[in-house]
Amino acid sequence: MDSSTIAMKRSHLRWLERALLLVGILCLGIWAWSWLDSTYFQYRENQILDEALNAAPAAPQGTAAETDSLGSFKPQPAATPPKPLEDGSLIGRIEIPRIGVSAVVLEGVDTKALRRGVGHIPETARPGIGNVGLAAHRDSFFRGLKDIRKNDIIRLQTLEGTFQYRVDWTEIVKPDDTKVLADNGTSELTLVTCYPFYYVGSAPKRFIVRAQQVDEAEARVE
Amino acid sequence: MKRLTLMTAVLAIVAAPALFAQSTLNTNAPGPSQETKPGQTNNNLQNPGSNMQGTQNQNGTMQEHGTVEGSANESVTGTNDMNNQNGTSTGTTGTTGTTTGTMNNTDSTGTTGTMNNDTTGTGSTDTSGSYSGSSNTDTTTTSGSLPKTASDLPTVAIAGLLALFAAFALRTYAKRNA
Repeated sequence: MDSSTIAMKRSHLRWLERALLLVGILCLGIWAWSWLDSTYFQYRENQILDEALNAAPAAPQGTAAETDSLGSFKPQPAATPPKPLEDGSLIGRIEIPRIGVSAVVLEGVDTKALRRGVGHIPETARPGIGNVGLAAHRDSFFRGLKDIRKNDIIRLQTLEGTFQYRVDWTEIVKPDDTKVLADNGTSELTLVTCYPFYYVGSAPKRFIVRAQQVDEAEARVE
Repeated sequence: MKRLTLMTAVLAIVAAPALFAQSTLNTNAPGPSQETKPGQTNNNLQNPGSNMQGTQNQNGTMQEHGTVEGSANESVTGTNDMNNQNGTSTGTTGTTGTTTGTMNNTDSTGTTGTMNNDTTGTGSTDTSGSYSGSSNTDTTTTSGSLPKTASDLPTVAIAGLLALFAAFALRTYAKRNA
């Protein structure tokens, strides 16, 4: 092999090395920027939520919804339906103390909302009035769900009040199995994240956590 | 031979973490309540705490035949806060006749149904009436699939690490052959 061929080969290798270096730095930069953006957003929104909670009058603690059957139907004045929220607006904060999950909850499950926090599935109920659906990435805010157990307490803090839920069951379902979000007429919380928890790429299944609303005294006992 | 060994080593170094990350051995079982049927609470059955079983899917036709005696004149209007049910029922009293009723049930799941109630009376008093109402179960429908909760960031990060490792390996190779 003559010297010119060797020089050309070295030149090619050098360019390839630079290109790989550039791609590596770019990819890690994107990852770092996303992580910083998410962390800062959580910090800021937590501050805003705390200030709003401190400024607001003491909201009543959410209690388990009445579960009258149709047989004991009691006419009641119709509740005012809550106003629909814009995507990305702050709803509250979810905390699962035992596994260390704490994140702000935003309206919507688009890419931006899920990158920055836990998303409230728009088609589902608001806290305290039905089956509340929350979704988040399994590799960020909901990573801790891999360790969740039955009877764990989940606290959902909103401006309308603090709602306590106790984990009833978990299940692995297919992505199109939307019946887990169906409203059964009771006050529930459904957490959705991808499964398996450690998987590179688009995970093929969904991990579901279903919790029933309990009052604060019951949550303390647990 | 050196090149082959070097490339194999680099490949093994960069691929091993990715393979380990995707391995099922690396995924913890999601808790003790994950069994398929732990006391019939972790399957696709209706939530055992719910007393609303079967109320969301009413679709069909029901016919009744029999004799009705007595009189009825009732009017009920109410709202159930829990599942937003509104209904009105009216009735009249007559001496002879045939009762025909229709109940349309529509809720947010798109469930519709019709119940025909035909009663032919043979006694002295027949009842005719109608019922119309609607049931709204708040939020049942979703847009076809659960949210995509798989972030691309881990893939991007792994790609970045692989690229950096490859660049480092190339530099080492070039230095050794210099």
